[in-house]
Amino acid sequence: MIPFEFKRPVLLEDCTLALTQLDREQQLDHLANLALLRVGRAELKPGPDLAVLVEECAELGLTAVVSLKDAAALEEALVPGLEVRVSPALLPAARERQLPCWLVLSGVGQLSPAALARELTRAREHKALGICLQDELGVATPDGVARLAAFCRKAQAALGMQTEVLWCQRDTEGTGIYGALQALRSGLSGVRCAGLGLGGMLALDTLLLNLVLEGLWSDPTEALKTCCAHLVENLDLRLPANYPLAGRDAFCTSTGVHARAMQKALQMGQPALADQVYSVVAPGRFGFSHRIEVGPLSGRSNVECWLSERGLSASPETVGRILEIAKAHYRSLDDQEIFTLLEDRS
Amino acid sequence: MTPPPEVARIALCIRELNEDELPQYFALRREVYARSGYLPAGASGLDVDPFDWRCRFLGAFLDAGGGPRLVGGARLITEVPGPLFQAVERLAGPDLTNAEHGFFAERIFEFRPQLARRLYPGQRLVEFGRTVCAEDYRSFGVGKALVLGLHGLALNLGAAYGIACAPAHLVSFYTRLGGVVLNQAATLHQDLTVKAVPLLVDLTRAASASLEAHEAARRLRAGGMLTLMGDPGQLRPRGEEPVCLLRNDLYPQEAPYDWNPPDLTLSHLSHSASLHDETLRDGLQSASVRHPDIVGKLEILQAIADLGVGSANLGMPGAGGKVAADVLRLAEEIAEQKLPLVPCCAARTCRADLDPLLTILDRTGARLEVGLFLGSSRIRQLAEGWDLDHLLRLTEEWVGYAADRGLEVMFVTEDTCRAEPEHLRRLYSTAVARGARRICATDTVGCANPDGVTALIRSLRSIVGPGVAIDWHGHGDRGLGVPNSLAALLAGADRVHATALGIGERCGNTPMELMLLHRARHTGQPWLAERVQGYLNTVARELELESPPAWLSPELEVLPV
Repeated sequence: MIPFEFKRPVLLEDCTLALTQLDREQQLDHLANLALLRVGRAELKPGPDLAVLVEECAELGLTAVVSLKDAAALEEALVPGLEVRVSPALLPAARERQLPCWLVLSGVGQLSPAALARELTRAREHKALGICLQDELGVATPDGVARLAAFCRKAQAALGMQTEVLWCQRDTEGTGIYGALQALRSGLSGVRCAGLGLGGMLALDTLLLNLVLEGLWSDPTEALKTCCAHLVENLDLRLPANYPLAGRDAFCTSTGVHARAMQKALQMGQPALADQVYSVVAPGRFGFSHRIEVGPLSGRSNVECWLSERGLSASPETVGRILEIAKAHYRSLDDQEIFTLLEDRS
Repeated sequence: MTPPPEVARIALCIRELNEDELPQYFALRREVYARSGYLPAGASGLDVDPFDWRCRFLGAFLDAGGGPRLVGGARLITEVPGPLFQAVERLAGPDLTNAEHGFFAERIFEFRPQLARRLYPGQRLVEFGRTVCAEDYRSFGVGKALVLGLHGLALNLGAAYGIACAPAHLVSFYTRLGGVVLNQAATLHQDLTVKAVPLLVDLTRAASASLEAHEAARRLRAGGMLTLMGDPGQLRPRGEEPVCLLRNDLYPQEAPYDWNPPDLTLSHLSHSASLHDETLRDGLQSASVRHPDIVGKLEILQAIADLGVGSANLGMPGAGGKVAADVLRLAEEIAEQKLPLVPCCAARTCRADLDPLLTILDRTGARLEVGLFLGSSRIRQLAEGWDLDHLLRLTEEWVGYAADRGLEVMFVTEDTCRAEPEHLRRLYSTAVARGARRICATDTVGCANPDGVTALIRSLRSIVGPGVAIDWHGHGDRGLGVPNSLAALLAGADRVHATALGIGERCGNTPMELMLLHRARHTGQPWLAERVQGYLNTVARELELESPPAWLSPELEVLPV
């Protein structure tokens, strides 16, 4: 496939902590995992532990960020090392207090070029560190994002601005990840996102998968898996089975044709081939592994692979009997059901 | 129903109420609610409640020359005091004002868990309510104009969602205008005298009903107070759409800009034949779904037919036994009920898979498409021990076998996105020469990005020419299923494949509901909200999906930015 061409290193800002009510220990766990992923910035929620979390961020090499919603919150943000995200109305007041500020522009999907240029000028006047373009309605298509991003870069060049620009979009129509890639390709610095797409935001994990596949991010090994598992457990989420990477079925097959191809590759002594014959990426790169199940659409290969993975073997008759039962069943057999069948046969 | 005499020659105007008009609206509320049984019969005075303190009010006025007359009105509850809060205080007295937090509908129903999954940082929530119309002026579009006006006002205030507590007997009216019922079970609450249901209006969606509201909001931003009216001097009869016109400059805000380029080349997405449903075949390859019995499959088939898509894959009869019997019954159902679907079945390149299709063709006497698939990538060839000559022999033999016997052949190359261009050229050329009238490029492992899909489809078109249809079959392993399908259509593909809720093996297929949403958004086709919801509900129920698509924890707090 044709690789994307990107111009600069990608900056990721993770909003997961600001969207959740994790306790301090859980927040620190998440920050540690983010550090392993080398995400540039982590957004925190204002609160009594804010100063401590900012220190932890600094130790882990992350920039701590907090979004301010009103003037009263400005005082809470007077923590050394903390960056703030403010609306245009709050920018002057925040700068008066000498807070390191980023300007958040809402509704950019419907903001005219003239209005956008006005806001960029305002950001320059108030010496904003960066700008966050936020399309909270998710109205910009990927092509629209590219046009918006290109205009923004041109306007910045005309204004002599060097500030970083982040893209933030609500993924309402299934095109958000590609929109984020288009924003990066069009010259924006990075993307605001949240683990598992919390709050309807762009999903950090799916975006990272794409950046890895495009060669823009080194393999995060186990860190991404740990991050996803941490969120699922602590937020009590029910992840759809087909969720990319972290979903139950992301690396699972129960069909006969696919299992047979993987089995043949393994029998040829080529586990790398088996890993990729029916997968976009070798799951081991992300700390996951393939799973083969036995269900109504399975063949003998599924049963044989299932047994082999567990160091078991069975007679051809037993394999046939298990397959017969699976094909008559209304869903995949679970491990216990297969063990029971094996015991019955023995 | 004949409209009152003056309606035929006067204008209907929807606009925000001023201080002087507010008592008239409260009086009209009282009158309508007393007559409808919501209040004691014969009740008099004004209907005012504590929520009015935080409201914006819309009025529907008729002007027959003697000055505007209020014939209807509605309110929009916000989280801050409304512009008329002092007038409300004067009318209601201090005890009633500012006494209630939140929304009226939240006293009756629990909205927050569902909203927590949807609301994005910074998005606002409002409540629509107290929509009333004088009895003589019902059924002429006054209520519809008021509801759309409320939606436009909400959009102008930056709201993403509106909630409402609607009388159960008026649900169909509100759902036609973009409302979604969150819980079908009607409730009789102590604060109500009639059964009510919770409604949610998603103002961020391109619902056909809310397009008018978006237009209203756009004009409201551009020119000020909203006036909805029909032909100059005349109210349109029921069923015709009101036209938004501008009035004064109360809201001197900039009109929304559209950064998106016009997608003119997506116009063929408006044809039903451009969408192909794979729920009953590739969708069932998900390891986590329940395989429904034939009754369930027939219900899913009917729901697919209701969507306005052109074709559906019924399964792979070559699997034998129960699957073969089910596919035959589904094909018979399409023929007997004359469902507007072209039936399709999957088959490998072998007699054992193709002969059951010939039986189905004989039994139904209708057209039958076969998705004849064959692995094509080098990696697949390595794993299977195949070479290109072997693949070409299979293609030549079995495409010809199927086409010669009356099957419409769609030649499917598995793992097309990782196949070598020269291999694809030879495989497709052979298939077309032996009678395939359609080819299908598949992203079996979900590795493609939209640029690659564009290049691939253009390349395939140059191979097969204009007379052969091209399909695109995408997967969601990278979260790019939808943009890849749109890219395929833009590049010249004739049809794309999708499944309900994106179910399928591993990370699943392109979600059909999102493709339908894009069809509505890019081609002006109606957004069939109720049918799409019915389709998704049927599939979720029959396949016993464990996690609904809106899966985020209701406990999540939403951060205002």
